[in-house]
Amino acid sequence: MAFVNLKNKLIQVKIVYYGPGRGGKTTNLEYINRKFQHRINSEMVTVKTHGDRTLFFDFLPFDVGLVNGYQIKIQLYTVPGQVKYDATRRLVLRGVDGIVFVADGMLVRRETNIQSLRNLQENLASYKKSLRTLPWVLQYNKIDLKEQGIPMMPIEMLEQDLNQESPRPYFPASALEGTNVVATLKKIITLTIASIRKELL
Amino acid sequence: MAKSSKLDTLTSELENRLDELFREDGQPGEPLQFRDARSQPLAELKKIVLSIDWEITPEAVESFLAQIRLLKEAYQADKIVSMFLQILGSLGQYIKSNRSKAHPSTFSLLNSVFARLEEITSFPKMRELEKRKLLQMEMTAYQQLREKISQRRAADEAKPVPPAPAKPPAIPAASEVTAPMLAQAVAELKEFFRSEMAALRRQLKLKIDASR
Amino acid sequence: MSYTLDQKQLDRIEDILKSELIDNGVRCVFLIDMAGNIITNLDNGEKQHDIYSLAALAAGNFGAVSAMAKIIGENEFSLLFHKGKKENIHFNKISSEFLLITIFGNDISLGFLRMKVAESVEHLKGLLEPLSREHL
Repeated sequence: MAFVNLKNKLIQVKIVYYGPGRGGKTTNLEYINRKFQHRINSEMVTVKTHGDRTLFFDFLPFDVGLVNGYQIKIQLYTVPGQVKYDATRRLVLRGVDGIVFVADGMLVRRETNIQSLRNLQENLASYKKSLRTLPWVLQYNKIDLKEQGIPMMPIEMLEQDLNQESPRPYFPASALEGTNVVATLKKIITLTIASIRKELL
Repeated sequence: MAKSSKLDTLTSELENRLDELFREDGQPGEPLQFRDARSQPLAELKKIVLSIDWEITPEAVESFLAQIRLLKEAYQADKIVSMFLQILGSLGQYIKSNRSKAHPSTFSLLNSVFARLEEITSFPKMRELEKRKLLQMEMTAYQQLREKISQRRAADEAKPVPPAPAKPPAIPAASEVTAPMLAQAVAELKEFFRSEMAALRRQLKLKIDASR
Repeated sequence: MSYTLDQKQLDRIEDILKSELIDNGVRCVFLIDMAGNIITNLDNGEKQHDIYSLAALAAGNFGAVSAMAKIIGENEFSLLFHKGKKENIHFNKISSEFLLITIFGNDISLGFLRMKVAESVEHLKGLLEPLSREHL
């Protein structure tokens, strides 16, 4: 839930990167962290397992700057993707304003993507929220693997599985190489701010 | 024969008597309990002080004051311990009257006075001089706290009255009542300390003169 | 969906936190929502922490501990407090949406801090409750 501070003219919004385990959510934030050091005043917070998997969440506060007289501060979060961390994913989703669904483009991960999206809808429902009303975008990640000969899903397949109901913007991307990472971020920020634009006027 | 049977009877009677005697003493009874209490006289107070450290409830403060009263009676003869208990009692009263308005340093002082008291009562062989030194330290700290409290009160009185909060807290406005109460308690305490210190000095002087 | 606090409300909140907590020796206090947003934060000027990370972790921590409470059959825990060698941190729920986090040294007893926090929360509830109700 976005917070508008009229005293300091500051708007804080929460964007969560969601998706199956090892799909590239953390990699997205790591790329953003490297690329936009000047906009990031603090260290990226990561709570990881020994095996370098996200245990709790990754967190990155991102300063957009002045818009219409307001400082916009985006709090970027990722959730742990592993199935067993469902309770934690639900916690991190609390107060979410915008979502990036990072799907894994590998063919072998087809079913995992679908399950993860379903899981997102269930967890949102526990807060009486829905993908029908929340701003969200899709990222079809790992396009770099195609060159390595790994079987990848065509966009049409991903769209059919994940983006049928009132289609949202999607971005074929490579979080590792940075392809479309920024474009994804820009889009979700725009959509999220637009959804609370009443407070800006 | 008759003699030896009489002896047998005596022996068996004696044995029975001794059995009874030792059976009585072996049972846990009043004297043993008293011995336990003497070796850990502050156990109950310690529990209360520790619980106040975690949570300050009216019940805990009442228990504290009740325990101090009990210990004062038990230690009537020990002047130094009595003085420590006086300080603790005074702090307890202040906390009771002021609760959340109490000066934050009150609680660390409470802990340190108790810790010194515990030291003194755990080492009965401690020299009188050493005990007096510890008492003096705590009295100084108590005095300093009293000064901090008056300074804070003076500063509060100088401030303009802030607008009343939307939901005023249900805390009694005890500060006007407490100031004279506290001042009186401290004055009494000071007089008590002065007279006891004078008495101790006289005793010490007598001992030194006698040893010459 | 969002919620707003204006200058007057924020000034009032800051006044309460300053007079009840900072002026009584608390090092740092911040008021956050359960999403990890910072409503306001105050400190005694001695040390500056990375409050945005702290807020995110505090909200996550509190959320995790609340979930654990439910699993063991408790509605909620009455004390969430972490003790360090020099610095300690205490969490207090104000309503279903807001948390008060205090960072304090060993010169303040936990009992005293809990008393002051409880008092502050009473003052703040009146200011924040309408917001919680709106956005349930």
